[in-house]
Amino acid sequence: MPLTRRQFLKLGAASGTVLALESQGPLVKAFGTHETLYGKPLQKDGADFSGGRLGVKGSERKFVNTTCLQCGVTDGLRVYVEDDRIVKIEGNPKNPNTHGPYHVPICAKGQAGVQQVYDPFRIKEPLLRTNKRGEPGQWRRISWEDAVDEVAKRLTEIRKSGDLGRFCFHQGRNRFAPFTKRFTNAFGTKHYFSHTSICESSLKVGYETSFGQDLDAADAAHSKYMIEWGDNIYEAAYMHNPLIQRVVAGRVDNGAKMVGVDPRLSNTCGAADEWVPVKVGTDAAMILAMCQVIMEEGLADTDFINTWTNYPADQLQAYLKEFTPEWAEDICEIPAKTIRRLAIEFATNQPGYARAYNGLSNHWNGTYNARCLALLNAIVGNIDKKGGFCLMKFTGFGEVKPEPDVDKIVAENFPDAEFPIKEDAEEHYPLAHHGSDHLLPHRLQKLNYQMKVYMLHQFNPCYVNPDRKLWIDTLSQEKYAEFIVDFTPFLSETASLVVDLIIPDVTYLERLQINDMPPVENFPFVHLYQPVVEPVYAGSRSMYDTMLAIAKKVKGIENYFAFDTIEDYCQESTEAVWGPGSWERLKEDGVLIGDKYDPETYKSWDELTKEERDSKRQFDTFKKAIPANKLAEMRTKGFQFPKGDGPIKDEKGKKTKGVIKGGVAYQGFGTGSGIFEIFSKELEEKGFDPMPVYKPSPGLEDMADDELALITGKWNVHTQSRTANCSWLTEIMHYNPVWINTKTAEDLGIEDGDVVELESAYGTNKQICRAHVTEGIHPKAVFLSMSLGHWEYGDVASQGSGVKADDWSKREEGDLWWKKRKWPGDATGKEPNVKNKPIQGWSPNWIQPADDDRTDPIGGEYAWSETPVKVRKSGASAAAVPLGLAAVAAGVSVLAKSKKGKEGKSDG
Amino acid sequence: MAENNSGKQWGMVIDMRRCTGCHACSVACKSENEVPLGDFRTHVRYFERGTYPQVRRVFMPIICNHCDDPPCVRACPTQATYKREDGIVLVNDKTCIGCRACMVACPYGARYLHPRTGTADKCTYCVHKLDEGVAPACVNTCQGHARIFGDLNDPASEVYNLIRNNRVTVLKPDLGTEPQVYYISASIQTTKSEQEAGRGV
Repeated sequence: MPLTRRQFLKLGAASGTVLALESQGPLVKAFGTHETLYGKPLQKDGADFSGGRLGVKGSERKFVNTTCLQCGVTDGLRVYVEDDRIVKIEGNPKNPNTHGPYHVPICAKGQAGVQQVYDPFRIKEPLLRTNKRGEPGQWRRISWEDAVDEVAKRLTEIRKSGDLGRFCFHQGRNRFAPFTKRFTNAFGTKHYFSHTSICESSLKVGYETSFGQDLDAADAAHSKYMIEWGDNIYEAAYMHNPLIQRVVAGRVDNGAKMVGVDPRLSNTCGAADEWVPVKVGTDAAMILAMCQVIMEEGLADTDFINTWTNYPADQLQAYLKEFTPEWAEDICEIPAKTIRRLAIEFATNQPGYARAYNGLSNHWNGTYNARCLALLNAIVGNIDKKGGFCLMKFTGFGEVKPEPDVDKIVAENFPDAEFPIKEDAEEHYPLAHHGSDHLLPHRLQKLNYQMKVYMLHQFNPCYVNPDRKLWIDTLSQEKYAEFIVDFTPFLSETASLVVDLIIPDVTYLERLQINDMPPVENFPFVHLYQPVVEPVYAGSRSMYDTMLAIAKKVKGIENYFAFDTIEDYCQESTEAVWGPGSWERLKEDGVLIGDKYDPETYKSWDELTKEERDSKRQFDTFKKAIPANKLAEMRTKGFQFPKGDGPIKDEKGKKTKGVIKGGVAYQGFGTGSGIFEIFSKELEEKGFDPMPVYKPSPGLEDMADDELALITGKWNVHTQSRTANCSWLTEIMHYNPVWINTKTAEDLGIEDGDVVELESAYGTNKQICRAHVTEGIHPKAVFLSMSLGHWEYGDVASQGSGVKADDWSKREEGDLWWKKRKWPGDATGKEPNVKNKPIQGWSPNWIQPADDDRTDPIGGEYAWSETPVKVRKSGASAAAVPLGLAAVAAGVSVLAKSKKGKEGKSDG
Repeated sequence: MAENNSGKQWGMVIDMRRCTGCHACSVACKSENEVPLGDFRTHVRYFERGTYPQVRRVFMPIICNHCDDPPCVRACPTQATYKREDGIVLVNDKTCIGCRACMVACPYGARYLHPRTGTADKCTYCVHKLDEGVAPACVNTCQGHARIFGDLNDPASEVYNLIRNNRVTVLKPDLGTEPQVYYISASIQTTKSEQEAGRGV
């Protein structure tokens, strides 16, 4: 006779259920393994039914498989449509990243993507500025055709003049780079800027100069030990949603221990088995000490070091000898005993990995930090191992011929063309291959250079960059930017203040493009974005359609844009590699896995059995010998082979395509030498330290005793800027307090919820916000997220601040219910005191200077987490807070003041 | 209050070792069920414990517990709120008069008054999907597989086995509501690790 539930509970409570304290691994495996979709009995092949809150049974909803773009991770989506309206977003079971060990989850941001499409503040048609820049824009409507003509005309003029560099393209989030690069390459400009330096450019350079790839694909699900080093994978970071599923599986099903290293108790550190609060900027010291311990204890994988790196193990041991845990303890303030213990744990609990992201690299010493972390992984020999620190495996799309070669186009047709911004960047940051473009305003001013057409691609530079005032002031001036065109579908701060022509894009749910992403399952795939519904506003169009139309009108580049539509381009690009019929399949599934599409035998990710998936995962790829037929192919292509041992280069002699060791050709690493580089000749040649080192950041060394290090990061329901308009997200996190350690706050006389001001040695405006007093941060650090702080982008994002409000506290609350009501518990775990209304989200960007001193000289990344600030209780009341635009207007020319140098104190 | 001992009984296990605090469930539910701004059928609470540097954060998803002895059902004057045979507590908004007695009666704050209909609203385990064989939105979208949903009476189901083989707790057990959402605490794993970590830090 079956037990009643009451009897179960009695049993459970009384016996204490012995198995509870053990890992749940064996039990979970008893009725399903990692590889089965748990929800399957309740998941009719990813179907959805309408009915909503009324619980009324409805019809089955149609869906379209596409991709998310709320952040850069681009999960696979299955988007449900009813009556031509997007009603629900779920994950695409055919996407190997999103479809994890159990489900096909989509994070909060992705779920809120519906709100992007139906945001009432979307720009409905092209707009031309009628007032001067520097003030909130006033606009007149212009037809799409006229807008296209205007841009095409200006670009044609630039081309005629031969001074091609005057066309500058700046991408924020871009998941269609082959197409946008085609545009700029065909045009012949080398002024292609990106946002990567405010993301992780130093991490990429550090990794590339170690193992030849710009990021990793840690195999978390099979790991036994995870160190998340400045990698807030529970909330953000690269591959957040796909990877976190595997991290949790690894922890709970595989018994992995997770250590979180961060001066702040991020959610990752909070959930971790152990939190290691390193002092800001000192990570490399601890990493090196861990390497030292592992070497000294004889736990290093000397085999790997001697066979696959360019620094013999005994030399490495000698090099590391001085970096003792005691030495590191003085620097990073983590007890030597702990460093030693963690090092031994890490080395003896393999497979495992140490993974990093912005938290490690957004420092002046970011590249060195990244190289140290790469070394930590290499030293335990977990590179590309199952459960370890894996290389990314890619597949891709094909060329659409003719493919523009910008060097050739410029050399042959425009020999006088100059690219001074690029040259300046390369001269001062020769190794910053992923850009240092947060310094653009400085460069424009220094070189007195005028961009004639400055084109923005999903980028809000006057908001997301550090030193907003400098960006706004510089771009407001025609002498630096004659004409600024933006495809933004939302009235961003940049659009409002400095853009001349807005040709509104649609959202990613209404747009077609193709893309490929690093696979977290070591299982390559490609995917696409496609329109789920027709564009909500007839006046808005996919920016790629617009760019194509412009391209067709710029004389001299049309032959690179012979295809009629973006779909034609995508189809050609897809079928060039995957074969006939693959484009249709890609549109149906949203994904293509493998490298070829054979309609007879092709199976999508959710159709594969566990064995089939296991057999296709790729590990230890660098050790694989290149098969004879592939070698022959390489020779035919003109790849350059070494005499004896050494790297195999491509036909241009640039990229490493393999390595010959002991006479055998292996896949190797993508580094210059083809093997893992502990010693970097590339760094040495440019005057940097070739070995992984700890070099203290000057900005932090100079910190006064009464200063704290301001660090930043993201909230889990927000990205850096594009999600704040989603009310479902902003209602969860709208209150952006500055985190301050309990003891530090006590010393400063600050209580939880107090209005405080942050003052850096830069900028006239003090950053005013509320204090969140917590045990969860290093005593010498304060944290203020950059995820909030809009003063445009609609009512929800700006939280009613708008430019129209004189006294925002009196504004109609409308959607901003959190200004009226009690909230069940926000992300800081406390209920805001609604008597004193929470101050709208602020961000650190106003008081963070962006200059060479705060830029990593190697990787070019902006040192987000190194602004020394003074923190004090503010006399200002909530209503007197100078809000976004008012702050801009009120600030006396910051440019003039900042030139005086950091010693000038602000008095604003 | 008839307790159904056999037959399907929908219930949930919330495994706090797996929750990442991401709020995907909160938002998926809002989207799926058109929940008004300011109200939540499910949300995630954060708790911070400890003293620097031994601090940890726990994420706790909260949802209507679809109690076996639901005080909301007892409080409802029109019997608009009822417990279905398969265990789900629902509101018939045609007979709900919006008196809010159920909201007062519920010790978990699981209900809200819908601003448009003026009726009581709450988690329905996405019954419109469930009856078609599809998992509730919050379960489907959970990053860590922290929300496990199924038939509490089925020995082959995951919820059955998790409850049987783990130390589980419910919310406010002393009130006698017999909640059918069972929590596996995160502290078990963390406590073990804190011991391992020793007093070195």
